[in-house]
Amino acid sequence: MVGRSNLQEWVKADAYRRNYKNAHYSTVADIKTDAYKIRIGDGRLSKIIWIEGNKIFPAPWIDLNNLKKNDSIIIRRFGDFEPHHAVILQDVQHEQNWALVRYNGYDKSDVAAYDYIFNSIESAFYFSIVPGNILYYDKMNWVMLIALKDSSHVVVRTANFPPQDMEVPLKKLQILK
Amino acid sequence: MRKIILFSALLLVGISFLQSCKFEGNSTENNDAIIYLDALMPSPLPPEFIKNIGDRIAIVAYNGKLAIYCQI
Repeated sequence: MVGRSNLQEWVKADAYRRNYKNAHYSTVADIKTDAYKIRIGDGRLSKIIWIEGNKIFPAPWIDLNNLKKNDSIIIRRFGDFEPHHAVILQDVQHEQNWALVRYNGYDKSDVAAYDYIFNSIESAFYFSIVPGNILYYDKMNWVMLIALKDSSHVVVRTANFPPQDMEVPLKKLQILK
Repeated sequence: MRKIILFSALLLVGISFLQSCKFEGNSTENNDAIIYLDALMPSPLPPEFIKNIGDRIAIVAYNGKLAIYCQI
């Protein structure tokens, strides 16, 4: 992979030569090995980019592949007033984006998307979070913790576009993992 | 005239009483305030963790945009 200091996205060397064949290769100042090919989003609006490792953070659902049959989980869907408890019905395969589950108190199975499935939901406290954590804000939105301001307030970044930083009460944040 | 003076005095006493009864609880408007910052703060560095192909991750792009739904 190659890159320049003002490069917005990381590209493969062969793609760089193909798409920028008129450019002077002498402008390539560095070779980076710590870059990853990332797909953002799903479906037709998804986008592939290359990005450096120091821009990559663990998402709350990074451990989905470790889930095995009979594991107890929590399902938190957008808009649900309270989370649901459920049980995994079969091992989750690598790169599988869903899990077969059975909700507590019901006999029928159901399919839950990866971004609804969590092991636990906890309130965030000053000593239990660090900048870079992805947290659930106001029981509705995902945010990243940018800085701890004091024992009761933190600065978080929204996942909207354009991104916005805001100072919010700590008690509005939850740790989902 | 005497009635007006008496009414005014009672009104002042009433207002003073209400002001002295300021309620102080745990939940106040100031504690719940949300302040939108004018500019983005520096993005934090991510923790060291093992990244595998297929892992679901989040990124902070070069322009500061936070994307949650990403996959390696």
